[in-house]
Amino acid sequence: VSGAGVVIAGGGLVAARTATALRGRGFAQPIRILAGEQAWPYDRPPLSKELLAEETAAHEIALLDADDAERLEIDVTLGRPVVSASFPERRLLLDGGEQVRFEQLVIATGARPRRIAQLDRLACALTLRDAHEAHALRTRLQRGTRLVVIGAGFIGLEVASAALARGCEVTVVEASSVPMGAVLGAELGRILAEWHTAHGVRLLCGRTVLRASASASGAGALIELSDGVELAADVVLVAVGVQPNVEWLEGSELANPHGVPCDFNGRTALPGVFAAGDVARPLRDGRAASVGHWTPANDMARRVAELLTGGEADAREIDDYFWSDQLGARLQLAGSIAPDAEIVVQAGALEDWSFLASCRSQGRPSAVFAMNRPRDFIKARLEIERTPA
Amino acid sequence: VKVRVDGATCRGYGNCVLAASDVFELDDDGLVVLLEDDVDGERVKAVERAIYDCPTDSIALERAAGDEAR
Repeated sequence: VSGAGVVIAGGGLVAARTATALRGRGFAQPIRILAGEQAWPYDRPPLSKELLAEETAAHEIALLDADDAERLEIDVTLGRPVVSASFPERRLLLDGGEQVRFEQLVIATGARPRRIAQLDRLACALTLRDAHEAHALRTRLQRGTRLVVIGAGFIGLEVASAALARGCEVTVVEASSVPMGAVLGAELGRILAEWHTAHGVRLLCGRTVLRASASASGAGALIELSDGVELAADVVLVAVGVQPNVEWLEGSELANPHGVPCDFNGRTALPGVFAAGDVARPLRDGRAASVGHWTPANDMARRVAELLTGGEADAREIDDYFWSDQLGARLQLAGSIAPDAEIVVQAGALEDWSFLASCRSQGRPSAVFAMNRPRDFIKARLEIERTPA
Repeated sequence: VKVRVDGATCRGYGNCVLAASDVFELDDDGLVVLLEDDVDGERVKAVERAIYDCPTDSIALERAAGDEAR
């Protein structure tokens, strides 16, 4: 179909960055962004950080606005999620019935928070993924508010951190033995647990939600944990990870409940069809690589734009760096820490909550992690980058 | 071409250093400082990459009159 150009399904970081990178490389064909949300593309990392701390205007987190779109000739449709795709016909169906043809497609529909069935009916149980949810959460986090966070991943811990700063009483419930254990492993997770506990977060690890009910007033909740502990909450944040928005691909060649199979350049099994960001699922050594963060998503968007404009695939590993800000601590990780990884402190000390650690797995460096050591971290990250795979 | 950084919006994520380590560095507080404020040739490309990779939009190139428009 000539003239249909590039269509980007999704309206977040990948959509904004792919579209602007395409124009930056002189791409002259039509570009159309199909955003599921009724909002111009904006940046998500601040939602669990700055946005909870203070009043933040929409333009401060904007990635692409109406003026940019007009200047760059990018056609943006808001509030119209894609509901199905036909790859043989190179056609998408949008919510509302519109059909959109594409020559090349970038799948960037992102992910949404996982839910917990026992908490689904509670009016005070929130999730945090979009700007609306961030505003709703901030409004409710007042001095004295009893917040219970389910899940000690980076979103849960950043919200705990912001809530503590706002004077809330904060309890975090985590199923595994340490916070961020799946990412950091047991040893570093324990250091992080001590950091949160020392600052006044009540951290309950190794427990899950058994049942929950609305409080007598109906506004709050009573939560019973697997070990019998009962928690009274005014607000509950469910932060137990995300699931990719892939339902619209069901029945297609790219259907996969875990994310769209692709390589680090976003290439799927279908010619001219790419995936990037939270919805993408590239494999590294047979395991899903972690690309659900700002930097890898941004990097994949650049690679896709490069390929769409006749450039070459990037042979390097994806830059899977991510950061998190928790209770004044800057956490930074590049690479992935295997459960059996050997942790070697390169600078500072674990017990001081200020250190750079390198992680080796099967005899080779697999990651660097830093807490409150941005300068040491960037040097180590540069070294990793320069080490041939 | 002049390089500008905004210390007020920088959050020290360090992506610029990775993109152009001979132009950007982090100071003791972990925020961006310039090693060079005037670049040309290949280093313009590296700075453009740093601009693309910056999560807080804190870097800009200022081309003088007569330079190719952005």
